[in-house]
Amino acid sequence: MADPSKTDDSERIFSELLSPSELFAARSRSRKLPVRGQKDFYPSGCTQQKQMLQNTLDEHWELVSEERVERLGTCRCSTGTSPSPSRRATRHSCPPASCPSSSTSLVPSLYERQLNLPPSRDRGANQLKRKRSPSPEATATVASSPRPSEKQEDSTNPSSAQDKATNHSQPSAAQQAIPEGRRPPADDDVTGRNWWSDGLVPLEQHQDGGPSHGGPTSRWDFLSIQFPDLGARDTPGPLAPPDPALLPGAMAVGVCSVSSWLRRLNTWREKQPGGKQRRRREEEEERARRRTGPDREVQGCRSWAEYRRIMERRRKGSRRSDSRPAHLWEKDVTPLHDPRQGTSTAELLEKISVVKPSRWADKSCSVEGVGTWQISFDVHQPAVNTEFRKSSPGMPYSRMCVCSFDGPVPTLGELQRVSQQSGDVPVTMAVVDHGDISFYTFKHFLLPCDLPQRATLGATAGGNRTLGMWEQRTAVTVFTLMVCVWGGVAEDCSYASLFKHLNLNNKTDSQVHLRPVRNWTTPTVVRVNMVVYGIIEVNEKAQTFTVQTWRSTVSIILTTEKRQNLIR
Amino acid sequence: MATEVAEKTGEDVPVPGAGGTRFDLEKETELRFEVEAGERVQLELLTGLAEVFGSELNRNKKYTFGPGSKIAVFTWQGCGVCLYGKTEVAYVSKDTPMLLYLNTHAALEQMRRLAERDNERGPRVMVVGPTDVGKSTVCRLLLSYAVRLGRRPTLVELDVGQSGVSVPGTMSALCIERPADVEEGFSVQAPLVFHFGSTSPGTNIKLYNKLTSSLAEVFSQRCEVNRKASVGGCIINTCGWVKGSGYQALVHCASAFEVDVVLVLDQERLYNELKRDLPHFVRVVLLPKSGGVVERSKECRRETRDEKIREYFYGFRGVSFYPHAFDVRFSDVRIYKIGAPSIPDSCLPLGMSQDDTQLKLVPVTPGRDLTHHVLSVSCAEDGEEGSRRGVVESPVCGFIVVTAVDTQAQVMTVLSPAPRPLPRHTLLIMDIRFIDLK
Repeated sequence: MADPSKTDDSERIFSELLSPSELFAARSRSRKLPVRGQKDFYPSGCTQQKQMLQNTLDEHWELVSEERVERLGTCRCSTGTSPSPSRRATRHSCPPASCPSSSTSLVPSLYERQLNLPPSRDRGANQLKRKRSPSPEATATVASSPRPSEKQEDSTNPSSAQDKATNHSQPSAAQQAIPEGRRPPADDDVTGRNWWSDGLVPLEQHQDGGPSHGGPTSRWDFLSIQFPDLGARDTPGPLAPPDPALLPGAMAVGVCSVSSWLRRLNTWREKQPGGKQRRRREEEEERARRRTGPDREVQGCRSWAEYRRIMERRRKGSRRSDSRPAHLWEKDVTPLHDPRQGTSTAELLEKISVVKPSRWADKSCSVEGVGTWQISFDVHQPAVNTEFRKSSPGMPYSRMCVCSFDGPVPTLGELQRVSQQSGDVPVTMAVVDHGDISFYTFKHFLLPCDLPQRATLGATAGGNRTLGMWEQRTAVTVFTLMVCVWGGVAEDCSYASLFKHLNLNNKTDSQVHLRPVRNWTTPTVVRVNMVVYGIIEVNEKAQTFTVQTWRSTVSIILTTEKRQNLIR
Repeated sequence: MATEVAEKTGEDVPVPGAGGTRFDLEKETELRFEVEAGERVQLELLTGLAEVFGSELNRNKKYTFGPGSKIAVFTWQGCGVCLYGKTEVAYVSKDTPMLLYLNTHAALEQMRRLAERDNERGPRVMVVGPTDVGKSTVCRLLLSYAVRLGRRPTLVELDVGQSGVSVPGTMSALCIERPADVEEGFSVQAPLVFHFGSTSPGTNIKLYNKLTSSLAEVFSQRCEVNRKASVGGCIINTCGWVKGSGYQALVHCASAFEVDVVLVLDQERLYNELKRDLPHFVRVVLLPKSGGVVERSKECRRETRDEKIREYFYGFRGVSFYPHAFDVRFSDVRIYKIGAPSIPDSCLPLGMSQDDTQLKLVPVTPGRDLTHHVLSVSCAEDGEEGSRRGVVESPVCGFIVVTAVDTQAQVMTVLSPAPRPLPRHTLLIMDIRFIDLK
């Protein structure tokens, strides 16, 4: 063994110097390849499983590396039909025995060539003789130092090339020899154990007697267990009467002729209505099958666990391709969001939002715009303001802001600043466009909502009594303004939010009995909608009847003048 | 048997005084008869040995068959039987595939012997085929033969439409310990039942496959601890749906149970497909159907289903059990339905797939439309939301039928096999309704 670590080397040498009995004891410990439960092979990702897998792998490797020393012996123990040792060596990587892909591994390794394996033809003859050779002799043959005579033989043996050739031609023959449904002798533990208990169990018996049993699958030898299978057309011979011991009760059962049933099956098929259609369908299927070819992977798998793993893999593969179409995800530009990552709608909107929300009173709005917009002059009306004097001009009618049509549209912050400078007097923007002058101004404007005073209240709270609209070319600005006013002032205009705003609910005792007015003389009109829902009871004597009424929410309506009072 | 005089088959020889019809059957022939609607027929074995679907008949005992039964009396040795009552048809047929079935049984028995010798698990057999080919009968036959030889096979019933073990809409497993009763079928003792909720696997194929896997897992666990059950193996009865998803479900079932033998009844196409799609170590066998198999109409199937539910509550022929009726408050129970209604993929939330909805527990608000529905009482521990996970995969401890709902008082009246209180409070609703009329 070409083992790099020195301690191992020394150990090995030491073990080689053991007495045959000791060696035998060491060697005949459980040779079973450690197989964990089938379910352990579904990777669950936990560390324990990893550890176990690693342990199993280590033990596997240990066994494999040990066995190479006894290659000759183990090789001889395998069945005559599949004798190639290299196949057995590669079996740990689990290619199915009947799978032709493993044929590439049939080329003898360097080590095997050194061993000078006899040509496969006379292997059967060799088998008996060699098998009886005591095992210690074989162990004494250290791989790294093959006997010179063998080496010589190898170099001089003219049949080595032929050996290779026969090895190559082997797989097809071996495949045919292994009957369908019968598991090829596969596990190393079976053969390995046999080799070690050579004198105890005659090898031939194990090979021929009954089905091979060791793995969880294909334990049945369906050649000896006969099913009356009408599908297998090539066996129309009558079935022999079954062993009476297998039958319930005393039954003298004769020969069962399958052929009559076979005939019936055929005629029945031909008589089928719509036979043509059916045949066409079958042909199509046949064609499809030929196109895809028989499922080698499925046919070749040796246990249900393996089968399920294949299916799982296929299912996963198909799902992956389904969820991520190549034309979307394989290019430079990929979608913004991967649909497999479920997120809330809010997150998604956040991700795709282009316009960030802003508020009327935001700092960013009010700070900027230092001096580009300022009041140019005041306008005083001659007729109204008679007390006009240059020293004390009084309140102007309006304040003018002159600007160019080419200039930028004023931002909200600038508008706010200018209107603050102006005080109570409205500001008029005079936009000069190639000699034409257009005037823009803010006008009173009520937000459309079902409760007028609510909007006005909100506006008052916002500190802007003269809500106006910037007309014409600043449509975008107006839109933003609207949004800002709505966002800053009112959540919604429902009764509930009004009561909430006024802090009117049953729990605030101090306000339950108060009308929402400043002056107690202000009348408040209260309307209650009542609908008679049904007459429950009629008392004819008393000339009364009991009704069930439906009362709508109380709505408080203030008259217009009174509202003005209230606001002031 | 040889001394017996084999009379001409099919000839009716009236037995004077008894008012019955005597049939003398030759060796390996079969007497088939159907009972007319609303009638009862009595069968008596006079001489020789005979069996009905694998269960032997006692001599000089009168077996009664209810309306609509379709019975085949088979003899391996020859016998004489007598029928009393009105039969729709009664004829003797020589053409039976019984010998093939017996050979199949012999092969399975061989496998059981090998399993016993080698300390392995016994054969697991799946019986497949289209509707009305006698799948259940073949299962019954093979199970009866096996149990007559002292085996303990398990019947796995995956036919949700016509369950032979429990009420329809369930998937179940039953350990067979004695041959089927000639009249009643297998005695149902401590079966393992899972709630499916519908009579067709197509309504929720995902759930169907999941429950198949659950059954397989439980069966494997049983095999590990019970040597006899392991050697006896199992016989799986499947639905008659063999195309598309139904076929996929069959393949899934084969891999979940790790079957060794698949018996295909009377469809070569299915045989070839299975042969192609299953691994090579699975033996797929094509068997003919019996000529005596009768096609059942939809009405007939519905009636059988109803009869099965009635049998659950009132016992065989409605005489042996006396169910209880009591009120259950809505607040005491939680009613769920498995599987949200399927919606197009485009309507699903991002990252969700259709599979997730099919196994989901959807709470059902108790209301008037609950009336006459069959509810399964789940074995899942009564707990809060956290325990809801296991409800789908937990077996069922019993069934109740809602006979009336009072929405005002928030109570419903249920028909229950046991007196109050309910053993568990998690109920699963079925699509199946049962109106307790008789």
